[in-house]
Amino acid sequence: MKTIRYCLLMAFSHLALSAGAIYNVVIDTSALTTGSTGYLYLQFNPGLSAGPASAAVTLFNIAAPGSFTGLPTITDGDVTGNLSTSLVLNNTGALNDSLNAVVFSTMMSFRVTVTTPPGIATAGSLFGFGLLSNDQITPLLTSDPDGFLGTISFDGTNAFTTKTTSSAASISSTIPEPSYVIGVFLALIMILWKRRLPIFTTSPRL
Amino acid sequence: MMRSILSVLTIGLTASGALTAQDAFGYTSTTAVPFSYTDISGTGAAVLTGADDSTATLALPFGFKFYGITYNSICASTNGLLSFGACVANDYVNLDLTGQVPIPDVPLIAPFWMDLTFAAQGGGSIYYQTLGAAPTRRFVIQWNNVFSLNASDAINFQLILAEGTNTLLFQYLNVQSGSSKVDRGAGATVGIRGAGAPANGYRLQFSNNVPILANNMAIQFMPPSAAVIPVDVSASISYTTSAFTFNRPAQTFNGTITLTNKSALPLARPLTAVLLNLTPGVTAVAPSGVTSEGPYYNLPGTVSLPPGGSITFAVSFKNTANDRINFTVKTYSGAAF
Repeated sequence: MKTIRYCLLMAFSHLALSAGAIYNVVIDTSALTTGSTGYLYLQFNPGLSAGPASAAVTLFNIAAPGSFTGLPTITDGDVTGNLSTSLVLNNTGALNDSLNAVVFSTMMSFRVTVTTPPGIATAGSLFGFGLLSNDQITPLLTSDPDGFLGTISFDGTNAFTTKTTSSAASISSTIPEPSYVIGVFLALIMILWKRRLPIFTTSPRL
Repeated sequence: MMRSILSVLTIGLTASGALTAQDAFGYTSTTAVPFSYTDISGTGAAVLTGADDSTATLALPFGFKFYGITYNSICASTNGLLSFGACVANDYVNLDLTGQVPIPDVPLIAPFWMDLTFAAQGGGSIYYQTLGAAPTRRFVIQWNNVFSLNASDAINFQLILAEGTNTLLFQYLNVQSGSSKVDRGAGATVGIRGAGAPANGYRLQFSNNVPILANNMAIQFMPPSAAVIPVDVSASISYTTSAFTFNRPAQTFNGTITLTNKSALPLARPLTAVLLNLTPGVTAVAPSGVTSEGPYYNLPGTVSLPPGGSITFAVSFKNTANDRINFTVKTYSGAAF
């Protein structure tokens, strides 16, 4: 019984913490020349009257011999930190972006943790990522008009949508789907119910 | 009966499902206009209370031009009829405007012309009231709780005369009387005529003894020189936006705006969205046009936007200061800018 209570507690705790979302992003850069340079471009912009939100980029990894070039990171808007530890983009301005100079290799990856605002708004925000050439304008590995390889966005109801515009990019969620959580929760209820069945069957009939 | 059907067939059906027509003078009519019944029974002046087959002459608050002549008064009848210059004798018999001539031969406005009465249990009055301020005042004449013989339920409708544009708006709040001979205009004449009709073609009959009306329906009649005025339907619209992404090559912020009809009634096309109070320094890129209110966007589509229906359109902004992009959306219906 104690185990079941613990499981229920964990299930509810998980639901309480899911006011945001976590995604792993992988970019296959094998089509680029290893050793060439360019930029990893990150952007986190709000829609109309969007509530405060942030996108934290962590666990950045680039396959050897890829690396940072050593050039300074270029940012606009509300951006703090760096890719070596944690780069946080807040949606306080219209444009919040970061250009990170890198030496390309075959692959790079990072994790994005998006924190959403409470309540319902007219709009949400969008996190976009892409690769740019050294001119800081020309997109690489995509024909997306906005230059993104992929986007992670939420609307005014905090419902998330992910999109990739190139086969070179993949986005995967690191949290279980809500339906899965509900399924686990219902299964626990069923177990609890079954354990109580003998009590009901021996109850006196009125 | 054949004449009645033919009179209806002269009316065209547009792609939006709206009925439109035009007469020899150049008056046009359309049902592609929002229904916005302005109930003046609690605020207007009452005449003909409890009366039957009676008329009252009402002074108009502004000169109203009808078939090229300006009038300053109008004769209102209990029988759902109005006339200029004189009242119509024996108007408890409705006429077919495409083939008959009233006595005297005067200009008529027939929102719901048939034998109606306020002399019935629960019968009301004709109310009239001037709304708004010059030069865009509206004169409302409302048949409130008027009955037909052998009908159990009252019907309610109104006429609105518009200053300046000289348009006429018929609005039907309730045309279900409990009698199939009355319901939806089954025994009524609906339309307008000028003096000398039908010989001169100055008549625009919407229907004659055909049940073609509906509750919450509006019909607008416009003189040839009057442009249709877009109606502000912002109260019927909710809106959301996407995030505004920054396009580095174009140096623009791009996104979409989604409008949703939150009312219980369809919204007539065309629809136009205006961005009000756009953040200073932010400019819209390639809107459909710009008015004194702000940039506007002609929204695609021809079919009325149903209740709950949505429409999404793209927007793009120049924003060199990277300020938060703020605005409010005002939506117009029924006429293009």
